[in-house]
Amino acid sequence: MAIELIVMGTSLGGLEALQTIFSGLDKNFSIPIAAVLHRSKEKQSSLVPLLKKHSYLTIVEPEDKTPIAPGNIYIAPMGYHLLVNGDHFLLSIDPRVCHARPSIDVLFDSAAFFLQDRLAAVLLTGSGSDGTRGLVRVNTSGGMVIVQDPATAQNAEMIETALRNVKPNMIMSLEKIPLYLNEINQHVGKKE
Amino acid sequence: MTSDEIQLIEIKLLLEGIFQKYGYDFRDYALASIRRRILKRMDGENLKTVSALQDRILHDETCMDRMLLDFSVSVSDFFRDPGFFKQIRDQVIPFLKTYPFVRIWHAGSATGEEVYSLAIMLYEEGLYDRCRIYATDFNQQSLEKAKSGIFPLKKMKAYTKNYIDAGGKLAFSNYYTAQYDNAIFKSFLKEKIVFAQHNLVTDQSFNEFNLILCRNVMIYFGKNLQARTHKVIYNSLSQWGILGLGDKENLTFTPFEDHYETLSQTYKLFRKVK
Repeated sequence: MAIELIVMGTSLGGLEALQTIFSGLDKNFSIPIAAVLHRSKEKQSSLVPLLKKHSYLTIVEPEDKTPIAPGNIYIAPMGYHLLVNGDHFLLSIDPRVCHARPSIDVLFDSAAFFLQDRLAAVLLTGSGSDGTRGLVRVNTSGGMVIVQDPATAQNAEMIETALRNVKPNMIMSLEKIPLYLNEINQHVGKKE
Repeated sequence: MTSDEIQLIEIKLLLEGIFQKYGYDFRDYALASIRRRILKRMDGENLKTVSALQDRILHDETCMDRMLLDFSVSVSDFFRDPGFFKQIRDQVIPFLKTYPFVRIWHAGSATGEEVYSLAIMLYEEGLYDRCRIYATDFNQQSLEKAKSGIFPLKKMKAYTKNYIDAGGKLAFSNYYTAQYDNAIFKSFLKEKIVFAQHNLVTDQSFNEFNLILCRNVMIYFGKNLQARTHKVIYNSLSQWGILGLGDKENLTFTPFEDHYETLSQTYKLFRKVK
């Protein structure tokens, strides 16, 4: 089944990890990507400018009910959960999940509900346990689960917690992840 | 059929059941967010399926009360997004001052933090005596809490920072009396506030306003309900009236986009122009 959306989650060390991935994606990468990156309450400013420098693709913070469009990378805005709701995003200010808002679990769970096996979820470096329930959920509904090799992660806690609960389809180094996503993307292109 | 597809059927049946039995209409709420609240209640009730929750909700009214609390859960703060309130002070209040009498509607005022914030600012700008603020919510419990004007004392430190960032002119502690763990807000602040039950899903416009705040309420609505709500708001605004939304909400994805001009894209302030 062709992948229609990729979701990503990361916390500590995540900015560098996302920069590495986004800079390695092909110019014609068309599968939309939605990412949650935890950050401290104090850092209010948007991450978009920091990420934009490293990619050909359009990187935006979605607003409520922003349509999900090909070739775009969406970064969850500070202080809001980001949810997939069919062909568009929702934002919510429901309480924190795993001490986090945005929460990786919330994004992954909502995406899995709507996309099932047309979803790929990527869990990257970070501390805490957010993302584990989300990955289990993606796995149960037939989506593809990719985790960064904990040996290459700045902080492996989040990944190791997930690995105790779910068997991923792929474990790969940070550098290999964009190459693999490019392959998935070309596969989508051929089918069309 | 996958278990997710079955769950979707169950959610629709549950919301239909709640509507028929209790009259609360959540059928047009956005699916992804209401689904999470339903799953959270399932966890709380220790139930495995939405159907089991439906059984309990239909036969046990106390369970419906708990579900209703989950549905109306809202995170609110005094001067939430201080930049927004600063913009109201600097840009909107001078405009409101040109009217002899000002009517304001705070739609979805929840437990009242933001409506008291507004009252404080209007007071400091010398406009409060000429105002009437309608604070409405569908949840009676939230309204009662708002009406009481009592908030946890431990939050006042964070709220004081917000107040200062929003351009507060006095000491925030002027506005409340500390008693045990509570901050009791001074009663003059609610003199011009009318707290009333109003349901944006089913009720119509009830007056004409110079300013309407409806922040982070419609993010929980599906697109059709959002469009309907925008119609109620539009019909409730006077010509040149101002609408304030949450900082990640936009008119772009609604049918009313061209009825407003943008006063601030960052702080989501719009003026009705036609």
